[in-house]
Amino acid sequence: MGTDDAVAASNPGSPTEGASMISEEDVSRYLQAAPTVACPDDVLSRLRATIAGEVEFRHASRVEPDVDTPELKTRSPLWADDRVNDC
Amino acid sequence: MTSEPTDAQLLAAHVAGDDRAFNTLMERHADRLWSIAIRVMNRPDDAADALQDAMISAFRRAADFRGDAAVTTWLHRIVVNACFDRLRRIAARPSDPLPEDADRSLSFASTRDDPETAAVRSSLADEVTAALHQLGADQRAALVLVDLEGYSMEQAARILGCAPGTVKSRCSRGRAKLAVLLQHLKEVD
Repeated sequence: MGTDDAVAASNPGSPTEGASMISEEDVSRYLQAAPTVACPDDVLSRLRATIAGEVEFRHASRVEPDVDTPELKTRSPLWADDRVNDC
Repeated sequence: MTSEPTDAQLLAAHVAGDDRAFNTLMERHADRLWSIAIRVMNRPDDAADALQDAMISAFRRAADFRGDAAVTTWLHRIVVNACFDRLRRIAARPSDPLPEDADRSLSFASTRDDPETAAVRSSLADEVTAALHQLGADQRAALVLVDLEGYSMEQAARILGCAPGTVKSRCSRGRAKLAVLLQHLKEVD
């Protein structure tokens, strides 16, 4: 507590002023001891519904590869792997 | 016996087009994600909205995950950012009255405690959550990540997008304020 008291004394108006403080370690300990909060069922249901909507949206906006022209890209000169000599 | 897919495998499966993978990942971490959201936000409704924003963002941006951090760290960052976005929007709008259930007791993920221990832990969590809400959002988020979620200063800094020294300073100032607000816990220790 000595350190905290010193901090309080050197920081007039600080939250530590004028109180017998618990230490930072105690605060950390209380925080660490606090359990994980369970996600309420209504929130989880809403999240599931949201993600289901996103899945539908992804299906609707997906562009399928063009199966009828699989070699289109490889035949295009734009995709040729030839060296370019600008000189 | 088949082993459960890892978080990274689920995220990769989602990116590859598996429709169920993201839901599995979300449900696996729902309690921890909610814990962060409810403690960074002031009201359950706002926390639910922030978490929904975060999950939509994670769903759509999954392909951006580079794998240089744990999937949970990436998810926590998205949740914290969504909370901050919501807090900024809330600050910019006129204040609404608190809902009737704003101070309702939280329910907890662990059900292994005996009733007496569970009651003590529940009370402690209520006290901690109420005290955290007396802090500014920056200090609150830093403490939630470092003290409640167990991240190192460096990891928390990556999640919050600031320097480790900034996280350290926010934690220290936040703990100093909490030391006053949680003083009475020492008396019942």
